[in-house]
Amino acid sequence: MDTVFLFPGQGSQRHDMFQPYQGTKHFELIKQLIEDELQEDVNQYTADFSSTRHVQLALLIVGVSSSKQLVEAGIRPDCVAGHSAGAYSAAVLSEVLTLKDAIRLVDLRGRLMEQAFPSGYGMMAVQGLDVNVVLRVIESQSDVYLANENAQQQVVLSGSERSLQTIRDTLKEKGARRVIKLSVTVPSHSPLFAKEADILRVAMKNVTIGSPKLAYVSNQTARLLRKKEAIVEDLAGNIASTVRWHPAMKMLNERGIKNYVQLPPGTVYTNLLHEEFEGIQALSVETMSVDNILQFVTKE
Amino acid sequence: MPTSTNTRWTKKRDAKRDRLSRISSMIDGKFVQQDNIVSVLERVIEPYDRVILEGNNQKQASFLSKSLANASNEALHHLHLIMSSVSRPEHLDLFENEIADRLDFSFSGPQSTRIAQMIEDEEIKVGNIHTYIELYGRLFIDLIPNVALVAADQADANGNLYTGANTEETPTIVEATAFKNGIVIAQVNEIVDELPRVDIPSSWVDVIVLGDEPYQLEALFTRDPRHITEIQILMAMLAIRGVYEKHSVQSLNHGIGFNTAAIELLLPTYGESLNLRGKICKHWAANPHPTLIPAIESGWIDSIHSFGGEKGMEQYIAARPDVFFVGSDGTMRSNRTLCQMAGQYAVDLFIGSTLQMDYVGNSSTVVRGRLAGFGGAPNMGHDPKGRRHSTKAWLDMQKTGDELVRGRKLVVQMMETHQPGNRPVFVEQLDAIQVAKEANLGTPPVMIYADDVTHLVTEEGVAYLYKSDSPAERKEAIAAVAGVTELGMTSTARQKHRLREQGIIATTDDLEIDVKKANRSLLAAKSIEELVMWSDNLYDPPEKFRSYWT
Repeated sequence: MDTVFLFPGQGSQRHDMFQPYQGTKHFELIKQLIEDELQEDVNQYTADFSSTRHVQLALLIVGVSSSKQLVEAGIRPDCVAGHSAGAYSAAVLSEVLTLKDAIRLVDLRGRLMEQAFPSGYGMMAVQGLDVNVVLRVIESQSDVYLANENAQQQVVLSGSERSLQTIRDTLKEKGARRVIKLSVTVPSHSPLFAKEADILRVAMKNVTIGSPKLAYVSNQTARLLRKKEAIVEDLAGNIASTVRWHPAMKMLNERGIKNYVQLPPGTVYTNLLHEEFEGIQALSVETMSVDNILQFVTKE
Repeated sequence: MPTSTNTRWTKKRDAKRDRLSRISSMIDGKFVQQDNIVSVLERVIEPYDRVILEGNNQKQASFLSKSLANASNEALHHLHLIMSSVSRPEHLDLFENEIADRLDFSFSGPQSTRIAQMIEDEEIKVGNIHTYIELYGRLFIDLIPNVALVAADQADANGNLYTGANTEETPTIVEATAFKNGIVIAQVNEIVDELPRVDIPSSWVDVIVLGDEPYQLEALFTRDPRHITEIQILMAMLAIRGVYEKHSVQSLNHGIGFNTAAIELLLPTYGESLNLRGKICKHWAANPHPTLIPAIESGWIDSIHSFGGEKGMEQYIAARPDVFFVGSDGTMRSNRTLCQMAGQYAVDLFIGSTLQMDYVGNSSTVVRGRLAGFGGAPNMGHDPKGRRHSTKAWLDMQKTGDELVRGRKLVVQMMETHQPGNRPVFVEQLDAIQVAKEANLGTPPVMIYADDVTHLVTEEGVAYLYKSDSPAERKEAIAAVAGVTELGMTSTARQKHRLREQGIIATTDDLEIDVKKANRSLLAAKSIEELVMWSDNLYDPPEKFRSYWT
């Protein structure tokens, strides 16, 4: 195993993210499918990011269009990893979900998240403090959960605004370099979403699930999954549990994966990889040409 | 009278003959073709076999491990793998692919996340996480291998092997297998007419295969002096003055790490200024660290016995046979088992670093989500209670008034009190205890037990833990050098004063160390290039350490 594709989740979105893909085969195909399925113009997604549903659908569109373009250019991953909502793009490339089902499921996921917590909840990023120290701090505070473990010293917490506010100072005292309130109103990746995860599980029962053509990296357990049942559970359940991104990257690194290709938008995940691992190639589609990436991943 | 007429005493020998007969069509003398190796392994190994796979933190039988991972799990399953280090991806693929299911090992640093996951998922049943000597010892007692897969540099036509500087654990593994009717399979880098010398005689080896590429070898013990910090230099001064000089430490082990590399590079400068040459650090159980070169060249070191070789040091070692262990052919010979045993029993001092220490002094490098094992640290980082020979350092550790005059080995832990991300170094309870519960381990993976630790060196000073009489006093002594950590904040000025008065802790002032001198100009070599210069251009650094100047 040499190469993994990394699909970004929320936080990486940008208003111009469709621009490089407008007019390309896969983009136009998805655009048409969405118009048929949801009766919506996709350009409204990137125009208005106040809706998490918009953001998640926009990420799916770019994730799928860009990854299929790479594969057609001869860049073939051995496995796929999607961060949170990015996992749906990963599941499409791995052929666990059809594109049409992925559109419906991401639409549902977005709706469920928007309806669940109209106010009083949020998320907070903590930088420069070891994840194990953060865990000890949040153990003593109800209503706060580890949402993303993005790096050894970079995590995101979910919970009620009041509880997040309460532990803010403690985290600073313990040495956190930055504690940043994120502009989201939902406590993603926490047990507060257990009910929504169940609704997604039921919805998954009504779609045709394919056997994975590419191994899939689990958000919830940081394991490499090869069984479709386990992948479906990860897709449905990940909104209610921690995204274990950092352990997943370590696991891939230990498996000998050398090429980490981040699909657009952004370069967040390749930046994290450069900081944490030596002797790997972390390449982002946004800053490199497809030919260049092909050269890097195929060189001996 | 009991009779034994029905007992056959050669079952194992007969079984070995039977197994080897299965590959008779594929073998020429002892040699098999590269392309046939998977098939050879599938025929010679049987399900449920104990297979020892050579792989430590430096040298790996990588062609054989890749080949074993390519075997069919219908032919080979339920293997019990024994390996001192789980290092390569395929080592764990063997479990994922259901070829093996049991594992006994010592170290798993390069696979620490995945192995923790697989143990939790019950894909691997762990026998134990051993010290090296313990694991090697059990190869002769109750973990006797059915098959050994090892690596050598060269074979001759008769099947003798040359393992040279990287002999490491090959002789031990082969001996445990060959003399108990197990099957020894060796991969070699090349087949030659004449070996420089014989490290493993042909009669101990059954099957030889030419590897597809040279076995994997890591330059694990090379530390670039450029990365040594001023805090590490200060701690090195504290260790030299407050431990090595104080107890006249003659013989010692240094492991991997920048803390000990700093000590090595301070001997010819700071050590010299204290007039300590010939008085400390004469005999070593250590790998040929490039950072030892200035001390060797300045006449500090009489002898070094090594666990393994070190990439790039071959020519330098060959040119310094008075210091290193070198064969009649002029090349080095290492031996991991013997050096671990020497480091356990025959040296005055072990010094090492850790990631966590609890309030009474137990330490571990196992933290949540990472199961790394410990390499040589628990082996050498304890007091061998049966030791008889006395030295000043050993006797310094005895309790006053002991009529039996029993000393102790010096076991020194070094740690900076501030770690990246404010990760706590002093903890009420080691993560290892929780990890053991989650992974269902019989014993928590503690690296060094508190009752073995005699000294703690931090940038705040030295704690002479061997002098403390109670767990409460140990905790006070650790706290007194714990800096601005939670534990350190509990230490009052009055406590510190009393501990200093009693000689249980010492600060830079007490040891008359000029803190202003703790800077990089004190290093005998400040870069890899300077190490090369010290070596008369005999040290040939691996490519990755050369990028700076080419």
